[in-house]
Amino acid sequence: MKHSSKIGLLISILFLIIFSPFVESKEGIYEVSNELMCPVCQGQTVAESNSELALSMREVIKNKLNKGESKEEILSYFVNLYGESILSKPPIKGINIFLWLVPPIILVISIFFWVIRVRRNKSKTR
Amino acid sequence: MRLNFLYISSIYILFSLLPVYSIDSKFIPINRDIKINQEMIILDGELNNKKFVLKNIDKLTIVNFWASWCKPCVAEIEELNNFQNYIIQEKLDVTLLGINIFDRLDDANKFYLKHHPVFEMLFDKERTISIEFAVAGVPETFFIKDNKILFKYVGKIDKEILKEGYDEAFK
Repeated sequence: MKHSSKIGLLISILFLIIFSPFVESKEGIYEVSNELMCPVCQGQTVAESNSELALSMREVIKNKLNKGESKEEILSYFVNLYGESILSKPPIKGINIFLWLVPPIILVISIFFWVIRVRRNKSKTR
Repeated sequence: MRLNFLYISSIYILFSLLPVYSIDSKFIPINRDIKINQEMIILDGELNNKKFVLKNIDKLTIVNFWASWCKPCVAEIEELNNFQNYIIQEKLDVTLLGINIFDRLDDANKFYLKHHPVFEMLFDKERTISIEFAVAGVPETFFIKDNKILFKYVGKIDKEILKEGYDEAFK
């Protein structure tokens, strides 16, 4: 290996060592903040919102990630403060099961009635 | 038949009015333990960067969250000053604190110079204290005792409501 390519490789490794935690942290902040709804915004997650509260929430998420807290720990911290409505994806338990099941049930029922109607129409035309 | 109708209607009216009369308090109950150890900048109009560490809130403490751009916050400052004077006059066992959030230090300092608060005013340089209290907007006023947030008041507060909150905290 040439001397210049060795230096290039060394610089690349150093660059990765220095900047990889920041990249990781930024992705981590997005991942966690995208699972939290902004309490003062309409239909925006903390990742999407630029409100002051969302900025503060992202700051807290960054601090907690730097301390080594897991995504679940951070989410449960926010649920403890703001309640389960803070989650962008409500957990599939309790009354939330209803929220998850109603759309597919309505879809299945609609398809069922649509099929019946189409068959009836066909038999009438015959 | 008619009697049955009257009977059912009166029960319905009674139950519909129940929630209206059960809301007898201005305060939103919270009852949540809080662990804080946060360094903040004391606002003194001179930007001397003097520090204040907010921790172990054993004694009844009333924390008012505000921002310089918030109109109700400007409107309530006189009332907060009046209440601080009342605390001193009546020697009440309570601390009144103002914490500036969602703001810039310069603007918070200008607010201080313009409105001359007579109680301790702090600036949250970490931008995280609002989350510890789960503040949703400004102004909001929290009543804390024995490291527990008892309840909060949302919106422009006045001296009478602060007095009520003080009494409520000792019940």
